[in-house]
Amino acid sequence: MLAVAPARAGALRPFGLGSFEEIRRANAGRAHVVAFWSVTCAPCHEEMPVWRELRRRRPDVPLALVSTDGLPEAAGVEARLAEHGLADAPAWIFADERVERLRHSIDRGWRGELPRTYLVDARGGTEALTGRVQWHALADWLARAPAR
Amino acid sequence: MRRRAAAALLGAALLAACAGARAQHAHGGLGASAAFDAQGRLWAAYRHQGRVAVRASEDLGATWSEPRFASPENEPVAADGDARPKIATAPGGRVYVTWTRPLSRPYTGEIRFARSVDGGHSFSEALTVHTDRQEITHRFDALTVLPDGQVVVAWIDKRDLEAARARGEAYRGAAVYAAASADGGASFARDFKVADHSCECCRLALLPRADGSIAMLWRHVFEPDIRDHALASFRPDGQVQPLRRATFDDWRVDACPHHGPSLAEDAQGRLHAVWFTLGPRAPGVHYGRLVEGGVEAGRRVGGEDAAHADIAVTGMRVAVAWKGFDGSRTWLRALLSEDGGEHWQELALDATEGASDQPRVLTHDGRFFVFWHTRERALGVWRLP
Repeated sequence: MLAVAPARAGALRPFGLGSFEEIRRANAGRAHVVAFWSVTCAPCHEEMPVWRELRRRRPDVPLALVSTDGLPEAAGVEARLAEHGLADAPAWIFADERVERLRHSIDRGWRGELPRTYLVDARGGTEALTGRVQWHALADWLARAPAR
Repeated sequence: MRRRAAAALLGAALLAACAGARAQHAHGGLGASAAFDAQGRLWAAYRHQGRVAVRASEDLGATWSEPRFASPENEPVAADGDARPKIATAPGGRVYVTWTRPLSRPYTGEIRFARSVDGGHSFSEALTVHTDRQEITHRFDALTVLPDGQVVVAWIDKRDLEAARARGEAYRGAAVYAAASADGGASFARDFKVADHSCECCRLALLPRADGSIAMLWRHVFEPDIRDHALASFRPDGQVQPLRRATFDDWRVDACPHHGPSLAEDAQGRLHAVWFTLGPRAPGVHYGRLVEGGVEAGRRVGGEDAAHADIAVTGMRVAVAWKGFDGSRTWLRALLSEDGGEHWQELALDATEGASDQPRVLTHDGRFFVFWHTRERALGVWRLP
């Protein structure tokens, strides 16, 4: 069990085998979003403004940003989040190099493509999206998914 | 500057927190490549202590020489996902290595090259292969040596994207560029573009052909956002044939699959390939022979967990290797055909519980060898029947 207390809001948390479940449990009963991304993925960067918009317009919908870059890239990951104005967003970083095992624990259907986004409604119903998320798609989901 | 220092401290704290768990002690960076020389010696290049290290085996991978560094100290080397150092050999004890050196801005990089002319005892100073020196994307190096000894390097390059952006225009994906060395790797001639609109994050497949041309297979971005594969032919002097579409899976997505193809040629000059798609008809890893306008003898490779296949051909024999995580272990599997891809037998070669690189299939003397670098077993080699 990895237990690193964040020094401040938005500090990178190590993401391990139980972390996806931990995020879901922490947000149970509320619509929330878990977004996987990488510093090396251009569409992921193009998507970042959507997450900033989500935090601005819907602070009641928790967002967890998970970098798949791995611990050694922590500094770069933090820098990228800060560049996008997301330094204070709950952020995680893959902390287990057995990435297939990590992805399997999140979603057996995920083949590693990025960005990968999980939209979880208040009842735990989950939609998995591959590719850059556009604001209108997110807004559609927010409008129809049970939010509480 | 303070933020970076704080982030570095955080990174160190996170690493320390994970140090207790064996499997997480080292983290990633297992990307490796291997190649036989004409004498049957097997050479491997991989990231070791942050640098490109080269080792040789005289006994088909049972034992390896001490690592020799081919890249400079304090130069980062990309070795994750579809990125890895590359290695190739040439007569006269020549060993060539390329790698991508990530630069400080995100997804920027340089293509680096070093060579040994003394059978791997020492490596030259590294040089940067491309003519363009902007701090932009030059990544996913691919390396091959032609029958006449010319060294050819290809890579993914964003100079055209950057130029389009500066003009306020859109540009799909990135471009693929190449450069050739006619002096055994002492220097490279001016680089040239092979294709526009490649996918920006997948490895390239290069195949030298008997007529001195090079075939290349890569994940492309066909309008508007179809990430199927394209095939092109070019010559080291910069002549390029127009690309043709190679796969027809209709995968429409704006994403980074980090999953490139491989290409090989049989004794009849037919092209065999493996690739990955999440297109609607048949998601997964595929094999097929590439023909004008379609794919022959196409089949799925492995199950739902199949990933990162490689292919090699010798004569009319075809071998494909891939890996897949079954929920508890990562398996290394292979498909073998004696008749150019019509009939196959499937083999399970090994399994590991830790992290692993992508497998590679090599040929020597009419035999197939699967090379797989894992945390549990470094630079492993399996001979196929």
